[in-house]
Amino acid sequence: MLSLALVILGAPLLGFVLQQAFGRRLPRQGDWMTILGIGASLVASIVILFRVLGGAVLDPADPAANARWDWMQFGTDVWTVGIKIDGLTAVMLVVVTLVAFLVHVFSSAYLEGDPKYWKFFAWLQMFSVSMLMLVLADNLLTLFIGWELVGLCSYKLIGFWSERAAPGDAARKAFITTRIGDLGMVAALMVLHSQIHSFRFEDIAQAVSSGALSETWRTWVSLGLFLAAMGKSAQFPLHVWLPDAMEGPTPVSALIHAATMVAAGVYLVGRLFVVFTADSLLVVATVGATTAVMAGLIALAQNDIKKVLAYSTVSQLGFMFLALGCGAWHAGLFHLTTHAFFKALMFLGSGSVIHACHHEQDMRRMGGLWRKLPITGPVFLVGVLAIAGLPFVTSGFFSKDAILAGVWHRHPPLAVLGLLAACLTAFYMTRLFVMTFLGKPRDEHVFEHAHESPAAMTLPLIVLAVLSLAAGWGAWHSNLLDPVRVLGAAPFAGSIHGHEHSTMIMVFASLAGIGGLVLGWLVFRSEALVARLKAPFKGLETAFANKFWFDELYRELLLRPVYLVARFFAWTDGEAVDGAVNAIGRGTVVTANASGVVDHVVVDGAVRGTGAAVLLGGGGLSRVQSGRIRTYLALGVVAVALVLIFVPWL
Amino acid sequence: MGLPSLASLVVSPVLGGMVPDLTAAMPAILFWVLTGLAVGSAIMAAIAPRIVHAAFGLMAAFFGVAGLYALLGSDFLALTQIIVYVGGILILIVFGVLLTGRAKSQLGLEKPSSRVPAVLAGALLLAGLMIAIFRSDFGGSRPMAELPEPKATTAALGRAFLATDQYLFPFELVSVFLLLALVGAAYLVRRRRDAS
Amino acid sequence: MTPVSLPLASFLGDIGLHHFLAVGAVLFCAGLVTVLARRSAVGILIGLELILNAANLNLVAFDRFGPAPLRGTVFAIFVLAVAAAEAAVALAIILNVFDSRDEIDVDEITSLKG
Repeated sequence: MLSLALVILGAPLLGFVLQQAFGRRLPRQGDWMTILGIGASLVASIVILFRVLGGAVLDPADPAANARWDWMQFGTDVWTVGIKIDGLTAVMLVVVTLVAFLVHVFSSAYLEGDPKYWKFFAWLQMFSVSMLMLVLADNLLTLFIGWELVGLCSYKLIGFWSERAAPGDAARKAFITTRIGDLGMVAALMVLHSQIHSFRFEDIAQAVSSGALSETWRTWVSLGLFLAAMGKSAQFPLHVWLPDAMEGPTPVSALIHAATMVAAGVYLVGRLFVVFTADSLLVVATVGATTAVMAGLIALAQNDIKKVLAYSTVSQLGFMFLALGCGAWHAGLFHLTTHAFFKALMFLGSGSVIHACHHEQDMRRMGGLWRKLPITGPVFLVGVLAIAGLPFVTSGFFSKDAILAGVWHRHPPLAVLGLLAACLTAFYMTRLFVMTFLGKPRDEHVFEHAHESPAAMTLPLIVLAVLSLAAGWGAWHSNLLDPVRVLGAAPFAGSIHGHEHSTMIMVFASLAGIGGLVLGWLVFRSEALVARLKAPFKGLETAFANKFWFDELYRELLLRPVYLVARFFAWTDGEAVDGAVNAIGRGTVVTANASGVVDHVVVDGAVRGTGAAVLLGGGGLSRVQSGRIRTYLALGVVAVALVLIFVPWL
Repeated sequence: MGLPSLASLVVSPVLGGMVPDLTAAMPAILFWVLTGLAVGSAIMAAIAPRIVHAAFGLMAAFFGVAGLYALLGSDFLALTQIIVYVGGILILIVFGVLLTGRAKSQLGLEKPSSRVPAVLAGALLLAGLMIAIFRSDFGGSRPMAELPEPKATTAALGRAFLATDQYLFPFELVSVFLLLALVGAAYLVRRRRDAS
Repeated sequence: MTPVSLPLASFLGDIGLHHFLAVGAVLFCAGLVTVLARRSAVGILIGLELILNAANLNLVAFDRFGPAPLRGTVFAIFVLAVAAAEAAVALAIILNVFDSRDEIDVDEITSLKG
């Protein structure tokens, strides 16, 4: 399996390098090459899936597996890097490679004609590599490296259309916001290293079960990890970047901001679940529940099709965290998988719609597209039904049911919130569907030119639709996403084992879902009805539409002070520092002048004085050499006389 | 027979019995007279404004020194001194004075300032010399009166100059030297046709 | 009448070596002053002769008062000869200088001036 893992990582990496180097010059700018790259990974991932289903694992701790290599050495401390494959890994691999593959194919049609076409595929490949690296890592440090890399690729891809200002701003916003979360990851890494001197998952699990990592440290580490997850998975209050990230091309939104990168946070929590304590799990659950409801409310008031889907993603992620926080480990990760399929489906579907409407994204100008888009319409409907959780038919039903059951078992109040969120989900999704596909077209121009998308776009949609339905069947997910097998010994005391099954919950969940669907269809069919219903809730609608003013709040609370401080420092630099520098400069000039004067007067004076003295002395002394014999004689005589006089005395 | 006795031989008949016997004092008298002559004329040679006067002062000094030589018993030397110095060198000097009479310096008005240092130097040296002379014993010298009578020197000198174990060699050398001087002087004063 | 035994009388009466040496010294210094004070080259020559004479006097005095007979006199004779030669040559030089510069003032003839 090691070789398969290396293929999974190596093929798209090679694709990236080649695409970056030669992509522009290849036929069709190399999109086929990158599709091949990710295709190879997909095939390898499927093979791994089957193998793991058969019971195989790749344990890097096993020396025979050869899956661990020495990376850095600090004295006696050796950091290793390795590849780990178990049930969770296998599921994630298939999800990532499958969605990535489909997005690659979709992009070949969606971005046709774009001047930077080849670059897009290069970065899609690189993103795939980074995400796969994250998933295959056997230690937290390598995971973090993958984490950062996907952040980088996300930045590049959101800001892909760099001709405009908005994508760049959005990319920066995403990067900075997730960075704040990453502080938590770094803190967790530092604590782990100081306490256990290792980042390896098995060592961490060992430390938890043996008690080497104390309860307090566990709480702090897990909260740090969750902070990072909040950033990456756009949970309240770090959710603000995800809607803005919709500036990127729709395939990017589908791949990164629906199915994979944002799921990395959930994966992280799931992988390191053993570290979490009851307290930190409560935090996770609460944040998840709150986000789920809040995002749902906002989604209700959005008019941009992608923004609705973005907030929907935030909400669903909140659902997943709610599940994990209540110990429903299997449920949360199962929902991650199903959500990846139907959210990607809906994003790509919206991409198809946008493409059909010539890059129109405002739903208020859509309507009645069902007739015009015979493939996109039905598949999109499948997605809506999946997310609403239509009983038994859709995968979403199974996963959502599992979640709610698990939550109810642990924190009943949160289960109520969950139900509310589920209902809301169905409600706003129906709104989206009705506004886009049903009713009378609101914009004749748009409607006129609408046409079905090419096969490269519709085929992936169909595949995803099938998966959205089929993923719930079979026991594959129970087999692979078995917490005992994946997490090892001594899991969190509480019900993560298996899935709670509560018929009551199932009924309520179904009711919530169906109810939302029906209500939505009833309400949003008629615009007059909508207007009448909305009338008393003007304030609420404004609140939802303005995303609860989070961005504005952050701007005032955080950005303004930062700007102030920055301006202050700029002023200081300009006035004080530059002033000091100028003063030093002036001082130097003055000193130089003074020194010059001194040099001129004193030094030169001394020099000239010496010269003059020498001249004088020389002049005086040279008179000895007067050429007068008599003078010489006289001097000689005087000398002799003196000798005669004084020698007797000596 | 020394000069004093000769002198007294001459003087006493002249003066008859008027003067007491000065035989014993004759050396002293002679000495002081001769000294006065020599020194006085030397001083005149030193300070006389006109060179001619200086030259004649020199002549008188030569005579005085010659007398002193005689007093000391060197009869040959005294006469030789007169012949050579007065009869030769002094004549040369006088000729020199004559031939360079046109020179301004011959009118000899010295600037006083340049004389002072010279006189000072001389005085200083004189002081030093006097001190040196009168402080030393010279191995116990006796007054002249106690010395034996001097003998005639001419023959002895002749023998000395021609004896191979005495001063023959320097004697011959001196003659060559005189020849050189003669030739050199003659050469130096030859008329140069090409001189400007 | 016998001279009174006073130091002065002794000095005046008893002529000894010192007296002659003193005379020699005086003559020497007189000659020296002549050499230093005179501007004319001939005047300097005169002074030079005085000096030589003084030296000769010293020699002869020592000859008389000292132990070795004749040595001083011989030396003095040689000095005499040399002085004569030197006077001749010196005058030749003076005449030469006079011919070329028309002046024998030693203060003017300062070609050796440093």
